Amino acid sequence: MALVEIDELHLTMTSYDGAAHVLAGVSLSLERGEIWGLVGETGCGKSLTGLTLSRLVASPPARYLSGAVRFDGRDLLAADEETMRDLRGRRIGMIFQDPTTNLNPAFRVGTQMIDVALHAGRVDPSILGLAAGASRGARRRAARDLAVSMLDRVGIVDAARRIDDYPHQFSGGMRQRVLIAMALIGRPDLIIADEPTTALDVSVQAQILALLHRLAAEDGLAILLITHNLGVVAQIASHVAVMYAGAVVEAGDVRAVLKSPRHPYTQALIAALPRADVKRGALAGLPGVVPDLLTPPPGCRFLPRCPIGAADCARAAPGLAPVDTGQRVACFRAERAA
Amino acid sequence: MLTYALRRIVLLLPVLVGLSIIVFAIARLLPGDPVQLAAGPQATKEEIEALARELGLDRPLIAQYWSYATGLLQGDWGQSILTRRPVWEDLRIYLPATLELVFAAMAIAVAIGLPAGLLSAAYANRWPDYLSRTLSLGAISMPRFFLGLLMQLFFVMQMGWLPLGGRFPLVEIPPPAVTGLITLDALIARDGGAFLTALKHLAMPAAAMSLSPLATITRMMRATTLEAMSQDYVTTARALGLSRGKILFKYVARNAASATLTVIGLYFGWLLAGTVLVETVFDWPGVGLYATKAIATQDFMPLMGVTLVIGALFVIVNLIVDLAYGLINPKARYA
Repeated sequence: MALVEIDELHLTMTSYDGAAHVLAGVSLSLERGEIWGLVGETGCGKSLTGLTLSRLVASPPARYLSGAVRFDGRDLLAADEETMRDLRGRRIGMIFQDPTTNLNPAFRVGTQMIDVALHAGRVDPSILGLAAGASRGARRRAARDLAVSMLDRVGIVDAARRIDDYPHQFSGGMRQRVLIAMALIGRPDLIIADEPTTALDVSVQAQILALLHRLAAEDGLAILLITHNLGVVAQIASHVAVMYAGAVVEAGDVRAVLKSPRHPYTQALIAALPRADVKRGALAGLPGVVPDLLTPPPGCRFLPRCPIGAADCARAAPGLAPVDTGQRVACFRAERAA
Repeated sequence: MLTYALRRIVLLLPVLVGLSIIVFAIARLLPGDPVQLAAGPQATKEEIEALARELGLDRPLIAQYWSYATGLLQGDWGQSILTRRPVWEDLRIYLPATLELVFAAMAIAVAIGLPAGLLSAAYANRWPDYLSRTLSLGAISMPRFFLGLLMQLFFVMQMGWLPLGGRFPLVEIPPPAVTGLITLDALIARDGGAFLTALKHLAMPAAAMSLSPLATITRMMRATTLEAMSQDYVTTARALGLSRGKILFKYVARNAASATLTVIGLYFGWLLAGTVLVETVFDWPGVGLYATKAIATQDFMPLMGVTLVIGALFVIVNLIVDLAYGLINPKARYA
């Protein structure tokens, strides 16, 4: 059984203009030890997909129409807030984009980490290495020790002293390490990392990616790495899912998808990457714009921009189906795209 | 932190000197002749001139300012023409009364306003929020002296629970003055009865006075809390399983309060200067009443003294707020 299973998830967001069909059949499954890159352009629903896994999408305005989100066999869409809270910070950790705004500036990083550790320890006392009935003081000390060892693990030098520093005393890359340590403190099975390197310098990006890669290998974590950067995916992901306008259009082994993309959108995305061996000015773009999700086009949502689309693509939305190179593609004419 | 505090305190001096010059200039620019007023309508020209000489008011303005300023430093704040007592002596009696009133009013405003604003934001657009917003709008719209009168009608005339006015019954012996704040002095003297009596006198004027800061602090706290709740670190805290209560009362509250602190400081100064109406309604012997009488009789020295003291307190309170801001917001310490 897969650790995470998202099955044909449909979700609408209601605004003053009406209900936008922002997730239109997202399917994704992650096993332990896999790093999935979830790629797509802004507004395609990739961050939203990550947030539904922790049920952090406010509802309303969001409304789950159909489909399922399962974590370790448990139906998350049916879970109550208390159950979700026990999963968050314990079995599901999250890392967000901007390390300067995701730590509370008014509290020492230790305070914030200890609270997460105490929460995880309340769900599962073994995290703090204590028996169930341990005293408050013992739990606090254990939580602090755990926080220090986590900071040490993510590469914060002199962690026992730095734990009492405030966020602004850390650099951007170091803050992201602190946030990673915080997400790892509950010994999670799944880390959802939403653009974890986008706000960082390129040199720091590589360090953070290497860190995530190492931690995933050491702990057998599943990581859902949400990014718009195919280069990041190529660096650390074992699998990749490409999203377009609220649906996964291609998913599978990272080498298969990047080497022989079968969906015309994935092909366009890869062709649009700047490359050193391509002449200056010859950068390929994808004509057209992302459809308005308040009134999405019928059938395949990519059809208006698709170079190989045909009239019958508008009849129904294509589902994911395996192709000869191993990945699964949501396109009626995928074999032709090869 | 310490050097920052010292630097700010040194910077106080030019502000106070400037303030004293402005106060002095305004007092001299006011129309009317205080000497004539003090000497009375029957006084002859010679008597008026003699009095002017006695009070030093016949010398050039610069000389008058110089002796005033040097006098200030030596504790000689001039003499009230009306009370015929040194201004410093008068202030020592009246200022603690006003301070006690303002401290009590601000304590009420902060103690109720901060949690009310926090809860208002936590329950945004549900009934607790509507209730607190309606009440604070009402509190801002209600004139302080009018509320004071209404309270007197109800609590004194109808129920007979509280005294009508004054600070302490004339027939009773107040606790020995240490701080000058009677409630505090009663606590220091461990005199429960006196404390209760003083508190009863303080209750209504302080409540009336607290109304507008209470409303403003509530609304400000609501706004800053909403702002803080939309920050990324709240999403992170939720994503890592912290409870709503912990996030709100621990993490959001501190960020929101640090933004509200500035308003609290400003209101403190504003209350100090605006006690007149409440002091009049409740016959509270503070600097407001003292200054009003001085204005009516063109009694310059007390007026200048009151203005200087309130101005200095205003600046000092804002300094304290800035330093407190550094305590709450670690980033400000290094600015």
